[in-house]
Amino acid sequence: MTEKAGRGGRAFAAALLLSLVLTGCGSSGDSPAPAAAPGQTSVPVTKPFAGLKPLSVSIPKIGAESSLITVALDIHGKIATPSVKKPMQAAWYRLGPVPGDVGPAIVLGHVDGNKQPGIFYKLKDVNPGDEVFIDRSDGKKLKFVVDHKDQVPKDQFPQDAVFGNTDKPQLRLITCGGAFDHEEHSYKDNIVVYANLVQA
Amino acid sequence: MGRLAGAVLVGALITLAVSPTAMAQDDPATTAVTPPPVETPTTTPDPGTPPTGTTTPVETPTSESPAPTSSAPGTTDPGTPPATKPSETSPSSSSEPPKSSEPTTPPEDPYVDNIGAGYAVSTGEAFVVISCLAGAPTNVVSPALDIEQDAIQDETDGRFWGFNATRKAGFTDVKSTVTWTCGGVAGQGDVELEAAPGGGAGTPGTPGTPDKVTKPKQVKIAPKGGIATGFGGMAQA
Repeated sequence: MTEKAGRGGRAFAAALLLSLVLTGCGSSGDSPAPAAAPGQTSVPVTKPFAGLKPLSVSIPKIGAESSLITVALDIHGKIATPSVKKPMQAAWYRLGPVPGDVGPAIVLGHVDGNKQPGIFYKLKDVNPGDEVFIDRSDGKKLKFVVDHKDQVPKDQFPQDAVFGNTDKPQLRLITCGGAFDHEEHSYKDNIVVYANLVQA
Repeated sequence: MGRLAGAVLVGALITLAVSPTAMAQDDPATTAVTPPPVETPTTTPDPGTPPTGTTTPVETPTSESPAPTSSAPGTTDPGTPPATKPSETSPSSSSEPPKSSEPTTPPEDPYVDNIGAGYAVSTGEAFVVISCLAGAPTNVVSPALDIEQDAIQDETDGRFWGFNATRKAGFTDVKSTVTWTCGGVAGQGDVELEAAPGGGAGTPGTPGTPDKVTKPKQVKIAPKGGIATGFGGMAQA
């Protein structure tokens, strides 16, 4: 009886601990949001994309490693990006190929955000021959090798080169770069890394 | 006795919770307990490699300005006025903390509830996105699009919902509308369509040749313009 009570106490304490730690690990002001309510600024994501998708990306050369969320278009027809408050979160554009399938799979990440370096802060230091690893939800572990990289003005973004059809599985890693325009709150350029699948 | 021990343990664990590093020292009794369900369905931990400090779980934004209390179309957050400091700087090459003079206002757009838009490309693929704090919009219809009603929630902000769609055969205009219901309130938005294969009527400013539009696109819908993945927090002033 005493032992059972002790177990119950530990279980309760563990549950409380987990709850406290998870709350404490959130970003400033974060709190559990079980349901939408008036005045609420966020809702839990309960219906994310459930198809085949990449789960993580890592680039050992620059020490970048992140889980991957999926993104699509925003209201303006631009690609949605992870919250600036979560600059270490990378994302996969789900209206394009899954990494490993034929075509240009798009993975993007912030160069910085929330006054911190982002997951692709050092993407500009990636060079041809560097390796990129992607894990998929079907258990496949993919290895890509960087072919080349470009730094291009955003207003001259190479749509065909980045989003155009390819005849083999490729990867595009995209972030911001170049000069920062404080008035526009935006970097002038995008850095695009092109990589080819070498091992599936 | 058991209650007393439990109470003491709770107190100790609260203290530990204040110091996050204590989490690394789980004892077997603690880790053996099934944790309570936590609503982080979009977190995608790397199954193949141990987590590192660079892996971040997904959370929807929570520190933005208050959202509207109704779903009336066009309701907006007041947001925070952008800082104005016209100058251009480059990203720092180091990972030192930014200087205090750097921008402090995240330039994320203020949230507007119950608005939406649709985009369709020449090959027929289309996508509709709608903001709806009340949950997945229903009755999403457009004269230009066949829209799958199975909404997919935006993982960066759960207030947005995406719908896969296809252009209706024979629809050749480059503009249309989409309507829906969000929390019982009707909404309406515009649909932009690229010129249909073979050239539709009234397609000024929409590039695309018949050769290109007949090939299936691997990137079903290319986003507009460049990609905003940096906000200057590490740029050197």
